[in-house]
Amino acid sequence: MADRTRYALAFGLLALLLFGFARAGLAVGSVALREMPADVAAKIVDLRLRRMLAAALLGGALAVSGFLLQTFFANPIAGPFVLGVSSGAKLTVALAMVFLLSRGVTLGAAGLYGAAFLGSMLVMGLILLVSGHVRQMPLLVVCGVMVGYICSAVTDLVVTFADDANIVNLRAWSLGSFAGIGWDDLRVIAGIVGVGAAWSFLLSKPMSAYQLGEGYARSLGVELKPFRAQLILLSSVLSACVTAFAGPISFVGVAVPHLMRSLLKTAKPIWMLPACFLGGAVFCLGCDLVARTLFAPTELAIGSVTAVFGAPVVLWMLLSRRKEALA
Amino acid sequence: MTDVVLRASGLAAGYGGSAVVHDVTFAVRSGEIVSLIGPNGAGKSTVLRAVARQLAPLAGTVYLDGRADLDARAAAQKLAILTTDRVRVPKLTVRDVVSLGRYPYTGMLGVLTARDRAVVEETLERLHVADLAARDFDALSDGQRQRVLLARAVAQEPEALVLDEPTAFLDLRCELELLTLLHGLARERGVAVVLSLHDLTLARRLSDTVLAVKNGVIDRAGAPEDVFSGGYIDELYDLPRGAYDGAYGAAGSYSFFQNRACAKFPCHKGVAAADFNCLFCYCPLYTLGDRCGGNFRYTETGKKSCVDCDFPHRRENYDAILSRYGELAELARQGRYVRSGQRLLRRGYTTGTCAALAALAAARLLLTGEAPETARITTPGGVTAALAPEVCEKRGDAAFCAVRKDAGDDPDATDGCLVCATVRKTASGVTIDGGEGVGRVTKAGLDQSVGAAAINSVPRRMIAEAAEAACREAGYSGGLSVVISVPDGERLAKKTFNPLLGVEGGVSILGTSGVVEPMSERAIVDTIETELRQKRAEGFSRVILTPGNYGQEFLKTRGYGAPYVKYSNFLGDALDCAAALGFEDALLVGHVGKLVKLAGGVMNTHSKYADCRAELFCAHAAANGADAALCRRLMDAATADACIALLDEAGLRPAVLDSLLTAMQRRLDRRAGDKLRAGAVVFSNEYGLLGETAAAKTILQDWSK
Repeated sequence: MADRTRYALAFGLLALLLFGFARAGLAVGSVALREMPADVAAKIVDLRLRRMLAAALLGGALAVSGFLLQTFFANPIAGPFVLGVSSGAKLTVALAMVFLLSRGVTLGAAGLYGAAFLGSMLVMGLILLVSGHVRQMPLLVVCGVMVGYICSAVTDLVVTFADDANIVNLRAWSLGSFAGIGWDDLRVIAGIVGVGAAWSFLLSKPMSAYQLGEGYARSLGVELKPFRAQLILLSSVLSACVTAFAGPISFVGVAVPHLMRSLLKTAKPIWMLPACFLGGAVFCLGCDLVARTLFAPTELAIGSVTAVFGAPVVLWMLLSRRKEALA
Repeated sequence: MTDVVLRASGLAAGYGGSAVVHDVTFAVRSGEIVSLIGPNGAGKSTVLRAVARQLAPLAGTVYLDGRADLDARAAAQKLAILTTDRVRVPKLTVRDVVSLGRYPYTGMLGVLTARDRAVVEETLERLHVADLAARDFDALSDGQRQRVLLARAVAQEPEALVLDEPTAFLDLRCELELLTLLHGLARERGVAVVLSLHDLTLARRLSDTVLAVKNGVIDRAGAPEDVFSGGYIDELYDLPRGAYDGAYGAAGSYSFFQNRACAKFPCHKGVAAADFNCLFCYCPLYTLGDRCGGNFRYTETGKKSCVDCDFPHRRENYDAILSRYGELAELARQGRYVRSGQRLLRRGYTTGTCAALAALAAARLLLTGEAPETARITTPGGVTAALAPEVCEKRGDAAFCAVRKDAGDDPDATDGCLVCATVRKTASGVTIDGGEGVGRVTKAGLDQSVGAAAINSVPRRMIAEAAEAACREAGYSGGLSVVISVPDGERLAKKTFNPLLGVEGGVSILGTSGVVEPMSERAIVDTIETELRQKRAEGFSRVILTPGNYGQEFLKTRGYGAPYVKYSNFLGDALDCAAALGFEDALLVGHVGKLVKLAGGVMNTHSKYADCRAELFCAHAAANGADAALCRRLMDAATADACIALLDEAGLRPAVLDSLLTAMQRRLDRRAGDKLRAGAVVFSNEYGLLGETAAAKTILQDWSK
């Protein structure tokens, strides 16, 4: 079947890119490994490996989270960043850091994640509340962006009035980076993202029915309430994980699913979910590579790089959709 | 009943805890189509949503296959829906969408099994969307999309199908296609179908049961005839009385799906633009022929074509189409149309009906002093006939009234002539006589005795009834004399069979049903029967049957001693009549081109029904030793004479003719039965007498004694 061939080729391409970026990521950097003593080199490799694993896992999580939200809202411009969910997580994480650190309590990986998840769910709740009144997606997106701005503004306020010692940490984090994620954090990330992504994959059957709309999904035997709750919960779990450990990263959740849809030429979740995960990993690996090598040794904020690559994709999608609508 | 698939009992449903519909109780059987009609906001959709388990009932129960406790998966295997939701899914193919119908059957990840795939492919084919299978669902037209969504529902292999306004967004053609599909599903697969329709004409046409929903309750339920009668529709939609019938009338009594036998059905599928020959398969205006309002024409091959139709059957034109259709339906209600094959022909009135209408109008004028605008009677055929008199005036002590005859789409000699009645008061009873232009009977054997006006008993009765009706209405107890005249009758009579039948001086007023059946073979057969009856009444027991003018000329040269009757193409009927009337001998004299068909058992020799002349020559020649080359040439021969020339060349004429005549005799014996001796004499213009069958020889011998 032609479809199968296309899927095989697409996944082959993604695997190839993943491998290529991983090779490049290990080898390339602001310091040349060959000039280093062996133990230093090993440390640097370890550093880069952690960073790449984080980028791959979190990138995949973001893209899957975006796809889940798009399915939920039946609209391809939905995503954790666009709807303000990431910014919500950022706010709660910042608040938690500042207030707990000022009391001398250090936030562990779990605490950080808990704060981010709380923030995600709060904003998600708000968006769901609004979506009950506002049916049009563009309006909903505007609401999401506004919520995002409010959250960012409050975060900035918190950061401004925080102790000097915390600021350094917060600044770096609030710009977004895959750097400095330890193995312990990685274990938590792998656990959350692994379970979240696998669970999402198991939802691919009801998701396919849900693509036809609520009415048809219900008539095909989908139990809507638990299904919708799972979609929201999973997308929040995944995007909160990203925000907690790498800060707010924009556009991956919207751009990657769109790229994958165009690559596979299908919206079937059973193919889209793995493709989004792989695609998100490749996208973030690539962006991270650019972020740390383009102006080395100065690092760019990962959010800026994903925006540079992701925003045009989203723009292209919006414009082509507009053309279709006119045709 | 065991075959009830879907049943709602005391159902109440609504939104936010308040009931929009209540006390909904109905059942849908396997293979039944139930439609919901009613004004906007009456609650049709809510009822459908509740029975389709889309909306939890506030009270009452929905039973699916007799059970109310099915889980979601089991229910999904039994019930499928088609909603008004506009589905937009980028990057899903038609096949993907239809495959989703298999959802209730697949496992955890929704992977299709071989059987699932087979069902999907079969459904794609069945609903004529196989060509679209690889297309992007979003890129389809509304009509295609709706069909694909229906295919999805069908792929679910449901026992019940619930459709909410399935024809919304569709143009007329898609609408009709969709409903044809539904009809097929119900009848062929036994699916129980419940749907809401805003188009009452379709609801009436399609449904077995109609549920009228008004103000949240089922206001009336029953067969379409019942719900659509007695002005109920006006009540349902709060229309002024008579508004619905006035606008759409009996439109529902016509089939939309009449031309499914069309070779191009469904016509858009795999047909080149040049051959595109349809819409008329579906178009309700098809029946109007060239009156459809579109650029209707016949192609060289005689097909109806609307390639250049400038009257698109689109939604915008829906009102216009329906109103035209309404006009047609109004005529149909008056019984003015009759179906003939694929066409609908306008029915006309017989001279007898016209005479009765004129008599009625004249009698009314005479008795009430008022000239009626239209005269209306019920014909013996049960059809209401109505005409406006052209002239209706008092002439001295009499009232005179004239109507113009409209023979419909099968114009005969008297089409368009005036039929008049002059009515006078008499002491008692109704007497009927013929005036100017109405013939007199001069020979025995007809319906009326010699000397009487040629008005048969059926039209006489109609005229008498019309006159009596006028008397009753006016409360007049005296008698009436009615004189029927046809001013142009004497001239017209020359074009009819009348001189042959012994009716002189004008037309005869025959008519049994009162309406002219267009293209009616009945009329021709009746004439043959009348002629035979007359010959028999004159004492003949022998008759010569001849198909037409060739036969007559041949007879003149031979001088056989018996009267002859022309049977046109109706050989079988003529033989039946002759046998039934007690003739002893029937000699068939005809041109080989007509009679050779008899060897193949063709008893109606009109080329519309069968030809096979060359085939019969060929078969009999082959049986007598003709080679393949000769057979081929025989098959290509244009006429029977040409066939004989070819047989002469090969020296096979005597053997083949012998064999053909034997076959003819066998066929004649079988049809004529024991009492009638029938034989055939075959000739050709070119070759003269060709031969006689066995019985013909003995008949001729007996006759010459």
